[in-house]
Order: sequence, then C-alpha cells, then structure tokens
Amino acid sequence: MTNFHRSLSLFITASMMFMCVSCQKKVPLESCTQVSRPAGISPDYSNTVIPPNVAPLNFRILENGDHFFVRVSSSQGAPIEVYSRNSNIEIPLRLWKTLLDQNRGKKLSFDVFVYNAETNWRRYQPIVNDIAKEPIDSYLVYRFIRPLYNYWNSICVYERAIGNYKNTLVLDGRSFNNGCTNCHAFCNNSPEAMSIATRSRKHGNSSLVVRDNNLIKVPTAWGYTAWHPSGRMAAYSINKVRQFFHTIGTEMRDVIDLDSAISYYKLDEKTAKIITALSEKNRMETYPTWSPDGTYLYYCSAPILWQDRDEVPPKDYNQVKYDLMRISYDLETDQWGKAEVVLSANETDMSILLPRVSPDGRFLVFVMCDYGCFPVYRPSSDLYIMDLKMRNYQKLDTVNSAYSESWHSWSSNSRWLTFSSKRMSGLFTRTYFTYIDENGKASKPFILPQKDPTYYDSLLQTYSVPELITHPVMVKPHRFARAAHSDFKDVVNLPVTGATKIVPSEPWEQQGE
Amino acid sequence: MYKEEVTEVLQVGYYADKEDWQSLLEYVERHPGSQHNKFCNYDINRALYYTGRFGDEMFSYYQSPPALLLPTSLGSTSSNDSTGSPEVMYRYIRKVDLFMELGYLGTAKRYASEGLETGNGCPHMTKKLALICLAEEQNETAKVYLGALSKDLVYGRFARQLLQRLDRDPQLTDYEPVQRLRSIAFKRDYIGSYKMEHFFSQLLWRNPHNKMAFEYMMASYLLTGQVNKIAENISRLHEFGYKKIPRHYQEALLIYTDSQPQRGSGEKINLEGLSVSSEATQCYQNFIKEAMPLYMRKRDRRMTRQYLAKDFGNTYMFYMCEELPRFKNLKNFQGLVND
Repeated sequence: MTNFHRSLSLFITASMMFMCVSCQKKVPLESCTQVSRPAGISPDYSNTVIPPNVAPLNFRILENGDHFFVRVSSSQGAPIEVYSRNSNIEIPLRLWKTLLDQNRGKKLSFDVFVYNAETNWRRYQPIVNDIAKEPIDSYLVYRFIRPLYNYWNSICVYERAIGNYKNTLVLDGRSFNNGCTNCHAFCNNSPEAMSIATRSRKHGNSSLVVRDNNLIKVPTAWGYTAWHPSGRMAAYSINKVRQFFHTIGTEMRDVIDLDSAISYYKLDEKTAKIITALSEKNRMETYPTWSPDGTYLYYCSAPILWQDRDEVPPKDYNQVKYDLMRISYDLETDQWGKAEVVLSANETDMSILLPRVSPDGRFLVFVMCDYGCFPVYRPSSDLYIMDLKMRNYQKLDTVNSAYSESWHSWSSNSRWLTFSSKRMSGLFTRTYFTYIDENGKASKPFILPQKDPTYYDSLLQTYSVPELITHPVMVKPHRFARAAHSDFKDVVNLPVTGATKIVPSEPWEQQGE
Repeated sequence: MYKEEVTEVLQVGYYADKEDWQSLLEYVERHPGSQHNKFCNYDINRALYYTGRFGDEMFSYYQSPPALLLPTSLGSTSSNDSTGSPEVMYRYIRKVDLFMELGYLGTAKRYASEGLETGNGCPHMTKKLALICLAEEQNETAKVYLGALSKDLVYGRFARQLLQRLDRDPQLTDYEPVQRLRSIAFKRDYIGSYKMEHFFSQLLWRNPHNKMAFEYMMASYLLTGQVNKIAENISRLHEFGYKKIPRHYQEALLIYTDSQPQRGSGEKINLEGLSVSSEATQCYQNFIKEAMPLYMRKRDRRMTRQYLAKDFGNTYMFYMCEELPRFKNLKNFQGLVND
C-alpha cells in the first residue's frame, strides 16, 4: 500500500468515526424520565443466570423510539455502552467477554434508554441477570432442519461456539446423496469419541464412529446412542419408527415405535451385540443412557399393546407409556444384570422418556408426556429432575412451557442443561439453556444468543438435539462425507437372534426432528 | 413430460395461482392437449368450480378420476432418498390450494411444508403456511413464516403489511382471506388415510354450507360411476341455492333411473322442486338410441367411440360408457385422501 493509499484510508476511517460520533444523540443519563418497569426486550434475557463464557446476549428493544441506548454493567470493570438508531442492540464481543470474566458470580445489568420526540429520553428499570461462576461447555452440536414431514432437502449437523456466534458444519446430508443424518452422540461431552448415524438409500444405513482420531463406518444406523464413559462401547436403540399425521394442531406430526430394542457395540472387538433383557418380544426398549461410572444403563421401556406389528398407527397408540428402567453392567466381564424399574409409568400416568444423568451422577433429567416415544412432537412434554440419591423427582417448573420441551443434555460440569423448546412459536424448536444448582433448582431458561437479535423471528429451520461438548469436533465434514460414501471397512457380526427384528429403514420412516 | 407439456402445466398453474379462471379455460381451449395432463385436469376442475360450471361442463374436458384430488402416492417415484421426483413435489405444491379452499387446513399445511422443504424455501408455500397458521390462530408460528417472507422481493410487502395488521388486530377480524378459511376449517383430529367419500362427508358435516366440498363430492361420485350416490344427495341442492339441477347430475339421474330393475322407480327421488330438463332427457334418449345398437353389434370400439364422441363427447353418458371402464384402479382412487 502506498503512502497515499494509507493516508486516504486513514482519512476515510477518521471521517466515518467522526460521523458516527456526531450522529449519536447525547443521552442525559441523570435527567431523563424514569419508567417504573423494565423495557421489553426480545429475546427475553431477564432474571436468568448466564454462563460467564456465553456470547453477547444481543437483543431488540420492544419500546417505541428513534434512538436507543443501553449500558451493560456489573460490579467490576467499565460498563459497555451501546448506542443504536434502531431497536437492535449488538454488544461488542471483546468488551462483553472481559466484563463477564471479571464478574463471575455477580449481577449483570442492562440499563435501557429510549428516545422519541414526544417523550424525550426515558430510562427504564434495569434488567438484571446473574453471571454464574461455572462456565458452560464451549460448543453446542445440533441438528439444523426445517420442520419435516416425508421429504427433505437438507439435513445438517452443525457445531456452534457458545462464546461467539461461529457456526461450523459437522455433516451435511447433501454430501451423501441427500441422506439423513441424525442421532449425534458424544462420550463424556467430548468429540474424541462420538458417533453420527446416517441413512442413505444409495450408501446404506450406517454409523460414523470417531474414536482416538480414527473414523470408521459401522454398517448399522445407531438410533438413540449412549457412549459408555470408558469410550470402549456404545449402547444404542434399534427402532421400527413410523410417522403419521393428525389433521389439526400446531404440531400435526406424530411418531410411534412399532417395536424397538437396545443393542451395544464393542469398539475393540468391532462387534454388535444384543442385550437379551432389553430385546423383549413384547416390550419396546429405547433411549439408553449411562450412569457416569458406567455401572448402570438407564433406558425406557413400554409394553407393546398391539398385535399387528405393521399397522400405522397401531391400535391404542395413544395408550403407550414408557417406564424408566435401569440395568447393571460390568464392562470387564461384559455381563448384564437384572433390569429394574426406576420410575413406573403406572405411578406417573405419563410416558417417561429421554433420561440423561448429570456427569456428577447426582441428578437424572427426563421428559414426561401424555403418551408415546417422541416428546418433541407432544406439546405436553415437560422436563423433570430426579435426585438419584433420594430417588424423588419434581417438575422443572421454571423451565417448562405450554409447548414441548425435550432433547436435553448436560454440560460436563453438571451445572448447565441445554434443551429444545417450542415455546417461542409452537412449531419451531429452539435451543435453550438453564443453570441447575447443586440442589437441582433450575434458573429461568434463555435462548441460544445470536448476533442478529431478530434471527429467530424469521428462521424457518429448527435447532434440534442440542449436545454440549468441551472442544470442537476434530473430523472435518468432508471426511465424514467420504466415510458415509465409502464401502464398509469394518464388517461387524450383528446377531440376529434377538427377539426384536432389526428393520431396514426407509426415507419415509425417518424421524422429523 | 415433454417440453410442451411442461409449458402447458406451468401456464395452467400460473393462471390457477392468479385465480384467473377464465384465462385458464381459454388457454385450455387453445391447447386442448393440455387437458390430458393430470395437473391441468386438476386445475381445470378448480376453474370450472369457480366459474360455476363444474356440474354442467366437467365432461366437456377430459377427466381422469385421480386428477380430482391428485393423490400424492399414486405412481410416485423418488429420484433420490429424500426429495422425491419433481413431479411428486409439484403435486404437493398444487394440492395445497385445493385443500385450503376445501377447508382441510391441516393437510394443506402438511403439503405446503413438503413444498417448502423440497422447494428449498419456496416463498409461495411460505405464504400459504402463514395464512393457514393465521386461520388456525397460531399467530406466533405465522409470524415466523411472515418474518421469513418479509425478506422476499416479491412477497415482502404483503408479509410486512400483514405483520403490521397482526400487531393492530391479532384476530384479523377484517381480513377476509383468513376469515374465509376460518369459516370452513375442518377442526376434528383424524389419523390415517380414508375414502374420498368419507373425506367429503366429514367436511360437509363440519360445514354443511361448504359448497365446494359438495360439488367435489358429487364430482367424485360421477367420476367413479356412483350414480346411486348422486340420486341420494340430489335433494341437498337446495341447501346450496341451486336454481336448476346441473346437467351432469341430470344425466346421472337418468342413468340411475334407467338402471333400476323397475323402471320409473327413479321418480321417487326427492328433487326438492327441481326437475330434470326435457333437453337432458332428449339427449339421454338420443344417446341410448344411437349407442345401444352400436354396442349390441359389437362394432369396432374405436369407430364407435369416434362416432359417439361427435354428438355426445361432452356428456356423462359418454364418460360412463367410454372413459370409465379404462380406469381400473378406482378402488385406490377412493381411498387415497390424506396419503
């Protein structure tokens, strides 16, 4: 760059800065009219607990005005001041990070000022949040799709950095002939051992399994998957899933398992095995999840109420209710114990689904809904927490809404829970976070922040199956895609002696979310 | 499809989307070959309904029973795993309007969602989804669709105006498109596929004044040769304000009356003050006079067809004798709603 160019660019930059400063309206902070309520903001980031490492909570001010000013402050450090001529408030990332880092465990205030010609500047009551001491895991892996029925154009798995807004593709179904990619699972919140199930008419149904930086393609699509904490095996469900439709309601889709069982795959032996106790002929077993010490596998189980195993929907489909069960396991001897009921559907009169144990082993969060196996389609789905020491459970009242809550997962430090909720619009799932304290008390949830505060207002895709991980997925999308394309390198012995038949899936059988 | 056929399908679809029914029918007159395409056939029927000519003139055009509601699974083929063939996708997109117009909003919403996904965010489908959600009073969902649509070059203004209107009046009490959908919306949960007859009767049960459902039900009876059902339902004409019995219904009644073991039993049909016209009776008698000897003598079928088509090609009698026997899978056709 020549001196002339350098000077020109400096001049332009300086001029722009001057224009920006001069066009800002001076805010008379002390003399403006006080409004005795907090300003309305969207998304709702008020009275909640936020991680100290979360990206700026940009928001839109829902008050009429021509000029907007927000001061973000806490006990330590200089406040951040944001001026805007529209109602969107975007907080500078670096200043935000510094402020949060300095104030772990303290309050964070948003002071909102709005100007319009009639009322001049008005100052609203501050919006206050708590900054937690404990950080959240740095990355979120989620499925990004439109609300699907029978057909799809694009199903992607993305990784989002929690500390900023960076999205990175993990796998795009279009990279292997518009295949379906779903059921991503991680071992101990780490991508060092992980799996993604893929389904493709052309390339077969398979699971892409990462372990010790090796990627293999296993010729079975693992359903709901739970990695053993040792990383040496993974338990997964095999589901004969069918979708059907209602004719009314915000959510018209419904899903039923006509049959299901739980199997497991031993990575060292490259062998898939069926757990006899979890392949009962007249019951369906699904949603496996491990206790953090790896000695118990929790899962859900329901009796099969229908004779015809092909009819869709089967008779009494809306009477199916799953029990919460567990079974002991010894990794060294590869021996399974006896299944036992943890919480019975008879007791709750609801279907108990999606158990997830906190990494510290203290709590188990699960979903209950009116019937069936697919809570994201049931508006009655709510989150519940069980104290595994006391064996009592309670509804997470602060977390639930009138719409579906589901697909939750824990952070590695057991203080954060992420989950999917349809509360914002009834149909589109969004990712929320809540802080769970040591007594199992949950804070008011907040939505995954985006750089553009109006992002969700026009987003026709859903954020589904959020999973928190501590560091980024190391395998690049093209490697996953190449593996999905490849022939099977690791042919495994898949026993066919189980009572539950392993059913090949078809595109129209896939789960929507 | 050939290039010309694709052009015809898209042109007819264009007029249908604009609700320019007269131009649609004029275009079909100029391109008579187009009516043999199921998509055109489907939109021609809609045009006939909206111009008040369905019961009088539907057999002036080629008719194929499956085209009435365009079943999605009939002959569907997938080009790959997920997106289906363009033809299947176009079926979903075309079906949305009719299901909305009939008041079957839930299924219309499903078809529009399929169209939105496979059409990669098709704004036309986004608009339909927004309207359906508003009709179902799912305003928050509708706002997301409108939010997306407001960024569209063509539909953006419409979406922004509707969002503003929604802020002022969440019930949209003065917004006719939504109020009309609400007035005919079918609000009962139903799962699985069912027969077309059941489909229409459900719609009429919900809203006895759903004239479109009535005319489509009668058309389905005509297309499947169920003249007895035409006779059963003819007394309902007065509920919809008919001043005369549509021509094809008259022809069906004459066939029905003639097919009774005891001739004349058809006179017992309650016509609620309406009557079968002398012209229709004369036409029917002429057909019998001309056609019966030809059928009895088992003359060359093609010649017979050509001969009869000259004077009777636009009658229901001709359809019954010459077209209907060619459709062998009517059983499927009757059971494919909500597929």
